Amino acid sequence: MSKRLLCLIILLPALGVSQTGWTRPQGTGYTRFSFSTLGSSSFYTPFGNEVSSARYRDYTGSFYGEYGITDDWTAVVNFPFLRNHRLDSTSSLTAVGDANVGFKRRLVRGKTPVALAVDFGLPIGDSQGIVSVRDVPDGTFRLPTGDGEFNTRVSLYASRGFWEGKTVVSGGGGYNVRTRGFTDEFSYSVNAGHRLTSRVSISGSLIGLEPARAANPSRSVGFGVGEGVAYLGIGGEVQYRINKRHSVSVGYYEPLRGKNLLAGGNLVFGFGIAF
Amino acid sequence: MSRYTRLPLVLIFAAAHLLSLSSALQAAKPAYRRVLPGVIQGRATEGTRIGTSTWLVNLGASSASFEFGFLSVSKASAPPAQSRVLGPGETLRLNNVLQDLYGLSEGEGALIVSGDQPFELRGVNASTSGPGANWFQSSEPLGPDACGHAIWLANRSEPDPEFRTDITAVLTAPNSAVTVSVYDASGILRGIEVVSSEGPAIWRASASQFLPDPEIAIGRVKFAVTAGEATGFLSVTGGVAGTGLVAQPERIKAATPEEANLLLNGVTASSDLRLFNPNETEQEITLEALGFPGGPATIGRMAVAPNGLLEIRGVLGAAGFVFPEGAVGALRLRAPLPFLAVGRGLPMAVSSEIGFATPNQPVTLVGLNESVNQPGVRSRIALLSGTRGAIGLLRLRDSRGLTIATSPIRLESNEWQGKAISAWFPEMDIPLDARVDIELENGSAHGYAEIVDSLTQSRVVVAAAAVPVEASATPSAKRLVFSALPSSLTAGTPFAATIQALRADNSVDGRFTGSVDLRVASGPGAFQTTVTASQTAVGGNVSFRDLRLTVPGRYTLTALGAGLESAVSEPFEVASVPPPAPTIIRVGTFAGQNGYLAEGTLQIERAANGSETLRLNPNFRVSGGAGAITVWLARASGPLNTGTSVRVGTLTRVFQGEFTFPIPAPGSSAFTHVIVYCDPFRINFGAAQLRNP
Repeated sequence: MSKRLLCLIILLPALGVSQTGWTRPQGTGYTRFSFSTLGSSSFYTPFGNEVSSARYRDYTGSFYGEYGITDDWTAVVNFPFLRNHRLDSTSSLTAVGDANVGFKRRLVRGKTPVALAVDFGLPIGDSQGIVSVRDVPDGTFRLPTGDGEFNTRVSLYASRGFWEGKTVVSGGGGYNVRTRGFTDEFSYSVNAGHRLTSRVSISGSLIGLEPARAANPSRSVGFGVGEGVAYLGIGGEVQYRINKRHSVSVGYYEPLRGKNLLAGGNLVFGFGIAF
Repeated sequence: MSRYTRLPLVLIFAAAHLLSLSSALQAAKPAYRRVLPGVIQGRATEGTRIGTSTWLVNLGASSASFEFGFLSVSKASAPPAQSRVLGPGETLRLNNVLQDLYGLSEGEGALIVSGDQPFELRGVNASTSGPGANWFQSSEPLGPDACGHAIWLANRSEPDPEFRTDITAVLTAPNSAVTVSVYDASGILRGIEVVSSEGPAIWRASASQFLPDPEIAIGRVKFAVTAGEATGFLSVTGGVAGTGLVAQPERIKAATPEEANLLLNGVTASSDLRLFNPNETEQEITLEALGFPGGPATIGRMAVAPNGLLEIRGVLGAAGFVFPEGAVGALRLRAPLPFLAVGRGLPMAVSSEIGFATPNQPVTLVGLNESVNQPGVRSRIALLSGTRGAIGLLRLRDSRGLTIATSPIRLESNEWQGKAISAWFPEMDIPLDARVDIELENGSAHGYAEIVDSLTQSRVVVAAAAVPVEASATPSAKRLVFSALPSSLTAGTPFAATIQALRADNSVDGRFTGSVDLRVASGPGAFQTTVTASQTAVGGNVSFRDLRLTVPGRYTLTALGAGLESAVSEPFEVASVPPPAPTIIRVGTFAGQNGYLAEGTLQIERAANGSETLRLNPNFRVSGGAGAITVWLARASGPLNTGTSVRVGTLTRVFQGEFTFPIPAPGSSAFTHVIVYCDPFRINFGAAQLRNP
């Protein structure tokens, strides 16, 4: 799997231990249901230029979960169970997206923990995504919700807490091994969070993706999908803890630059449950 | 001319005449000669007339002149012989033969027809009063020392029924002599006359006048030729229906093959049968019904005395068998020794030697018509297979001998199959005076035609005649083939076709000089009228030149030749006259935009009618993996303004290679660029600036 349509959707911070050096204590877990919306009237071309285009809309409902198998092993799943998207020049498509499942292994304990994450992209989304084009007789277009390939990403993250853990900073990078002729990718992220009060936290993220080699133009599975995608994005989120177990959040993420990618921002609403 | 009586048993034969024929008949003997007896023209009863129509078919492979001589039974001098030239396979119909050939309004006698090619000659006497037509076929004259028996003599003065028989002898060659002997059913000689002549002549006597005791209900006449060439016939009139019958002499066959024996076709419940046993011992003749529901059935075994003649009325019911009303079939007659059989109103009895179609011996039915009008005639064709069944085809020919259609036949053992000629050849218009050949690959079959008068429903039956197989050591052409024909043409452009006449071994028959017709077998048009549709072969080859087809489409041609299997060409295309090549008015080269691939060249062409076409050349390619790409004529290379641009086409699944799009009026002159555009995302993928070539 990997990034599918135009998406900084994958930037969605789990506010768990995703993309950090920590692992979840044994027997504890965290789940989050989120709803995101994305709209854009421009996109980044394969050359990286931002050009005006037909307006695109995406609505996604996702489930994220992590669970501490042991103190050192954490299982992770991320599943966009509903995608609805369209261009204003096409009909809309509703389908599930590609899912990710994986695990994280803590390598280093202490103040600066380091963890190795391995996750697998499961191609369960609609990799064809055929929609009809208005005003073009017999015209069809592809708005897939998956790239149709199985991939494996290996990432390494490190974190550090400050001021008794009120502030945390994490960073890391990974290598995504793709199949079916898609070009492998490098990914990286840096994020920082700060607990303002006992209930309110804020966080910011910087995340990037680059192909390991020049994109293979013959492997394009759709407009802006799957191959030749690159970006650098930034985002922020505010989280409010309702009680010890439940929390809500709202965030906004936007690419600073990109290739073969929609240029619009992504607004995310989340509801988290810790156990 | 001379006449004498060898045995003066006959007291009165005042009606006998020997008349000279024109010198034409005394000329050198032609290759083929046939006699058609019973030809008549005149008044039948008060207010009605009777006349003879004839059909002559040239069965040879080349044209021939046929000479018609007429021997009249009256004292009138013979009219001069007349000639008619017929092409190979051609049929000549003469509606009133004596009137048409000689201008005679009254006359009766025999036609003697000769020619250098084999032929078939048939006749029908029909009265304007309606029912009563009878068919008869010509026969070859009997040669020296040959004899034939006409076994249907009926002369009875008692009413109910009353029959009268006239006996006619025809001497067809100079210095001929024939002995005419009359026997009754018991084989007792009742009268005899020896007739001779220095030239062709005809002799005729009424049985009532000729015989001392003319009361012979069942009798026969033996015609024995002692010199030259002669034949004869009996004209029987009277009976319940008042119909006529012409009985012709048949030779006694030395032996009858066990499988075939004798066959009488076209038998119905009302058919009468006569059997003659020419042997010195009694023999039993077995009658077997074929072609009737329920399969073959033995209907009787008839014992016939030595030299005896037996008549069986209503032969199908003779042994108590009940056949459905209207059923038609055949009789097979078996006997250990030779015999003769004749049915009233039926074709002559046939054996495997005569009239049977086999793989080596095709037969033909001639003079067939199918008319829905009244008056008119309808023709039915019936086949009866031998014990091994029959597989082959019927070939329908027109009066010129050209094949019009074929119809496959497949009969089981002893199967009878009969239906209207139009049913054998569905969807075909049956031509006038058609001919149907029976050609077999396996087995054997006898065929006959039943001809029914639409107005009176009177029915006559005609047997198939053998088509002569050339005796030449070198086989003749069997079929035509196209040896040269263009595979594609342009409408209106002259072209040539060459046809060859091939033997069975596919070698060209260099001796073939027949006429070949060339026609359009299928296609939307026809040859231009200036083309001669018929050509004569030279050395087995026929060339048609300056052929023109002006209507574009897919065509096949057919070549037709009398007596030959026709040829049908391979299909070929006649293309429209190509329009003038379009003019290239503008060209361009694509360049990608917005990071997408677009490459290759284009041209805008203007046709002679002013219409324009945008052609993306084979080297064209554009990014298109996500779907619909549209092609626009635009006024700038920048982001497409769909309000001022014109969409000329769409690429939906294939995004490289050659494409053509018509440009709507008024054309491309107002535009400066061609843009390939991603409609869903509304961005340009590439553009080409238009320039002059």
